[in-house]
Amino acid sequence: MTINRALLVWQCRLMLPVTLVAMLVAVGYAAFEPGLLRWQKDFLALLFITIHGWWLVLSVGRPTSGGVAFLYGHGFDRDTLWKHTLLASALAVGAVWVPVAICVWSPLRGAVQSWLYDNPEFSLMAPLETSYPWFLLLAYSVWIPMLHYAWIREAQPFRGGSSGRWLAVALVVASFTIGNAAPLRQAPPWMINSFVVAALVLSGMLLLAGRRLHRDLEVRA
Amino acid sequence: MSELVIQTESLGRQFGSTHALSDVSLSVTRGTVMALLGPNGSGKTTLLKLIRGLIQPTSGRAMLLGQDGRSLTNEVTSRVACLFEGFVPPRTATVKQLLDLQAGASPKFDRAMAERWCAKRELPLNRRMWSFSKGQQRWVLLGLTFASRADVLLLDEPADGLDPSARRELYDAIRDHANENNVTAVVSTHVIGDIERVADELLLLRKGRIDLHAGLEELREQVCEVETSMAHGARTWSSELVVLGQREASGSRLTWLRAQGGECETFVRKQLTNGDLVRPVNLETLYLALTEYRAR
Repeated sequence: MTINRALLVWQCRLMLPVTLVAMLVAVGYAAFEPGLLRWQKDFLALLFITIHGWWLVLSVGRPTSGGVAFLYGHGFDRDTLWKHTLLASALAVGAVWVPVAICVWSPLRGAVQSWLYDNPEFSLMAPLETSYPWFLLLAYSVWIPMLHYAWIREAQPFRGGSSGRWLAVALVVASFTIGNAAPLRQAPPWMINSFVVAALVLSGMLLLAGRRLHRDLEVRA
Repeated sequence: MSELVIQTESLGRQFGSTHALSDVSLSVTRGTVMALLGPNGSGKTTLLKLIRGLIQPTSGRAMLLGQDGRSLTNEVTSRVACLFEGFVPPRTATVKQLLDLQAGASPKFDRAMAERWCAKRELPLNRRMWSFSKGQQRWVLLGLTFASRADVLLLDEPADGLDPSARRELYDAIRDHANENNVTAVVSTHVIGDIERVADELLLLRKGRIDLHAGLEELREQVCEVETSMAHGARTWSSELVVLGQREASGSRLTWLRAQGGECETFVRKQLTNGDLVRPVNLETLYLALTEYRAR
């Protein structure tokens, strides 16, 4: 894949404000949250990823905005734009996820908890929270393709425009419900692995469908 | 034979129950500057967007540089520059950032030319778009468009926001650019007087259909204006002449005629009576004749 540096830099710049805000919020949460970070029942994390992903995709993938339309009229073909939009989204997510993962996996979080709150659990945090950053990354890997797909579907010429929106709503509701389901708090590994595989398959399907539909997308700024 | 750069076959587009464009078939050859005229809502922007593949047709197809508008590859898109109302860069972008982006989009981008263009109009490269007036922002985008050294220019109301002298300068730039680089340009506009100086062909759209598509030179020869006295009553003209439009004003009747296969004035002079006057028409008058005062 050839990377057009100018296009990638341009798209990353579009997402810079949301990335900076999200990075501060996410690192703040990861460092200062006194409770154990577990993927089950973490509403705040899911809410954060939903809002962050939505804002991020709005900045770079909404074809009804003048700034995004400007790119479509500027010499790039559809596949190039799609690849770079996804790559820029991945980099923007990485810019938020990597500091959070470093905070959780390094002694930083434990040190903050011990020093600031005298938290007795601080020594247990690192081993118990190892999987938490992976949960965040998995959620992003479904959310970002999903939200891009919703906008692309919305901009289709003739039919089914709102189906992407409803799919996104359904996914958000399902995620919150599954995250809160009592049996999952002690879920066996095979069940968790099944969810991971299902999420990755869904993500892959959304990426493929998004790529295909992006070629027909209408720019109506 | 000249290379066909743009070709449409029975092109149509519907938005809900509205037919924005119907049955548009046309060909534009390399090096042609085409003026795209028509009243508001006549389908000008829709046609340009269909050609560039920004929206999809409901019928027919549009070909751009030999490729279907629905599946343009980078090879073609990088050779086309467009300017559409509403396709605006973020207000926080600097001129330099825009030049960098254009350099990545257009392989033949002439950065030196773009910088000269901006310097001439006192548009500092480190300034953000929000700090410029509407006209200055338009100059920046026009600079990008010309410096892209694209083979095809699709310009939707490019003079929007420019003062009269700037408009003149813009159309001179279009003409020079087309002449020097053998560029094909389709320019939609409402400012007819300016485009007349640069266009080779005229495409007039009306209610989404082609009303007139002809070479400008050919039209100047074929169309004329006749002023007759109202006292003489309605005139009938020979079969070589088609009445395009009519208007009555202060005791006289203005009739715009088009000759079928010949010079209009030659045909008309044979049929004039005392006091009748015959004149060539400019594009603006022709436009009004075909829209405002069109023969029913």
